[in-house]
Amino acid sequence: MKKKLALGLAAFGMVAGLGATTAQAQTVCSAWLVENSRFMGVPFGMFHPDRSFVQGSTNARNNVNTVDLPVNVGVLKCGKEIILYDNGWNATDYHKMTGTGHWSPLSKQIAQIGIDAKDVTKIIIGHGHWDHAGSLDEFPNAVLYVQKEELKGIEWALNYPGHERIRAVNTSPGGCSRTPACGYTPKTVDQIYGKVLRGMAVIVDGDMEVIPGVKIHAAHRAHTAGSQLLEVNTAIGKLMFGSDAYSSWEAIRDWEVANVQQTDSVQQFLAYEKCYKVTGGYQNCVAAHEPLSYSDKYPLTKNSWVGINGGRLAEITLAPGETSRKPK
Amino acid sequence: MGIGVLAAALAATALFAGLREVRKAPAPAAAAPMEMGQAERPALTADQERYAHALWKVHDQVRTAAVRMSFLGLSYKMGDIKKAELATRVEPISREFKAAAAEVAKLAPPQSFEALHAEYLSAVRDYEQASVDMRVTRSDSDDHLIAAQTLSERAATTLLKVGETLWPGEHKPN
Repeated sequence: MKKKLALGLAAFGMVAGLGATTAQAQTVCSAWLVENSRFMGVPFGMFHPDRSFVQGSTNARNNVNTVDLPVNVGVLKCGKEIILYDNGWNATDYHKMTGTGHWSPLSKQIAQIGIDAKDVTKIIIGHGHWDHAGSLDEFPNAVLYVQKEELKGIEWALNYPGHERIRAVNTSPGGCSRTPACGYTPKTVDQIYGKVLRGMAVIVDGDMEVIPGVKIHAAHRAHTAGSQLLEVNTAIGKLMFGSDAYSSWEAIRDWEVANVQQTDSVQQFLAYEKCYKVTGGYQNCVAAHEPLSYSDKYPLTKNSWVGINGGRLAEITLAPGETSRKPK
Repeated sequence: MGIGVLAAALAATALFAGLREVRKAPAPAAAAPMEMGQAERPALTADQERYAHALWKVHDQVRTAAVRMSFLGLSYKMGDIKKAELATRVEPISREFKAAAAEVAKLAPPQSFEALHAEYLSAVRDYEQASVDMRVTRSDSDDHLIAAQTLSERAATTLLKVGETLWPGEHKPN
């Protein structure tokens, strides 16, 4: 049962409990994947520990030193709803140099598939890290969906009474290293707050059906305190978007942890299992940073092309009657 | 990749390695992985690095205070605290920003960083003003909070910009 808790605020709702079972027909969505940017030359083992580089190894699992990690954003058209799952990050000319490539404003990237930023109705963030929730200001009309647990988790860390490293949003030049409040930059947090302040946010508490056929699954601590997955009904079956709970598609396939930040590995495996249960396997699990994205080696994303500034896009599936956005 | 490109890349790598070897100044801030074909960021001079190091100590506090301030606003909007408590709990953050602004103002930037220094100081003062705006309790509306959030978002953008110059790689893939 879905419960709306008023909290004295008409501006936003906190939704608790499991999503409602509905008699309404499930919407069939079209889905695209957009590469908002690429983190270049990341040591493979830093991202996917079981794939750490071993000098001289002939084992294909351990002879790759560095990988380029896409920052993938899900774009869904579900009837009249335009929904983003994550929203990348907002760079500028000066910010492009920090080891990233192929960045473009997400609003321009989705224009390549014929979607105007003003028409985006909902943004569901898998978690609140800067590279997944960093473009909210480009979508002024979109309602943000964020887990209450995500906000509580950061707040807990910020107010931790013990060692300063627990509450630090940064610890040393070069950035913080997976400590509890790491990854939440002032700008990103401020933009989340701005959405809430302006009545443009839904604080989700647990699972929630967003529209028929599109459902949030809480995956707390699968990457961050309030990670959330998104189940999407499509013509090729269910898709499950996972943000950084599903950082690596190969890791989901092979049952290995990846991109451990504020992560409980048990919860990450349970998030993987959710995809297996809902979609029937691992093929339709949509990963945020899979190095094989946009290639035949990650079949769901192989129908791809290269767009502005070298950022790639993939047309995953089209709803009946929807026309392809892939250039001829 | 063509041979020419490969050769150019190797030459650039060798040059970069050589420059690093002869450099006597303290180690630069953490180098970020470089995209092929992308110009290497020039290293900071010793004076610039001293300034970056000094400002980092303040920056670390400013970032944390900024995020804490946003979360107090969130707590208020989520109904966890009332407006009076919001004002009370933001008050020490105002003092932190004021102290940070004083610390930044005391720093002597190298000439090449004077503009950047002024921008950073302006951002900290924006944060301080935002924290003052957040403490208004007489209003029934949240307009003052929206004004404060607009200021703090501008300050946060400046922090990113300055950080990109002084502490490249400050933000890791998450």
